Amino acid sequence: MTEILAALLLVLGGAISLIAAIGVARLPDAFLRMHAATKAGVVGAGLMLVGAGFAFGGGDAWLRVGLIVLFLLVTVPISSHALGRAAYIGGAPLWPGSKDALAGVLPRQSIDEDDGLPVPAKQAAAIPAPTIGAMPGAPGRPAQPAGPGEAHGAAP
Amino acid sequence: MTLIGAALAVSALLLAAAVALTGWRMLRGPGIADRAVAMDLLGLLAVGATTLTAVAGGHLALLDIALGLGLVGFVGAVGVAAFITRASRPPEARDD
Repeated sequence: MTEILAALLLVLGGAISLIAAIGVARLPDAFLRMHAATKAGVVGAGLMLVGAGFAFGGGDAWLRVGLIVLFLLVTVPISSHALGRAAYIGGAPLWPGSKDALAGVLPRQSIDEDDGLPVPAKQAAAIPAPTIGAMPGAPGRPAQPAGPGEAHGAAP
Repeated sequence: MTLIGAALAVSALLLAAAVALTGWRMLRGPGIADRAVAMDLLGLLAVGATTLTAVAGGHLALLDIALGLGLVGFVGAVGVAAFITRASRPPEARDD
C-alpha cells in the first residue's frame, strides 16, 4: 500500500515539475513565469519528497522530508518575492494584458525597446546633455556607469 | 522492475523534460529577470532530482544534500535579486 502511494506521489511530483517548466518556457513575461516556477515548482518538489518519505518509511526519512518541505515552504516565497520586486524595479516588460498595479509605488527603470538596454528616465530628465565621458556610438543617451548596462549585457 | 523503480524511471523522464525546458528559457532570456526565475526553478528541480536519486540508491544521506541544494538556490536567488535592484538604481541615489 505504501509502495503504491510512494510511486504515485513520485510520478505526480515529476508531472507537476514538468508543468512548472512548461509554464516557465511558455508564459509571456517574467512575472507570469515566476508565478509558474514558484508555486508549481514547490508542489512538484514537495510531492516527490513526500513520496520519498513513503518509499523509505522510517522516522529518520520523515524527519528529513518534513524539514526540507518546511524549509521550501518558508524560503521559496521569500526568494520569489525578492526576484519579482527586482524584476519590476529593473524594468522587465509587462505582458500587455496585465495591469501595472505598482505604478507610482515602486521606482521602475524603463527599457529601450530597440536594443533592450535600460534608459534611466529620471536621470535623463535631470541631466540635460550628455556629459564629457559619453561613449561614442551611443548618441542621445547620457553616459552611464557600467552597472545598469551590465545587467543586460548577455541579451542576444 | 518493482513498482517504485518504474515510478522512478517515469518521474526521472518527466524531470529531464522539465530541466530541458527550463534550461531553454535560461539560455533564451530575454532579460536577466527571466534567467533568474529559470535559475530558481532549476534549483527546485535539482532538489527533486536528488530526492529521486536518494530513493533509487536507498541512500538516506542524499536527502540532506537536497536540503543543502534548496539552501543554495534560495541564497542565489536573493543575491541575484539584490544585484538587479542595486544595478537598476540611478547612480546619484546609490549609497555604495
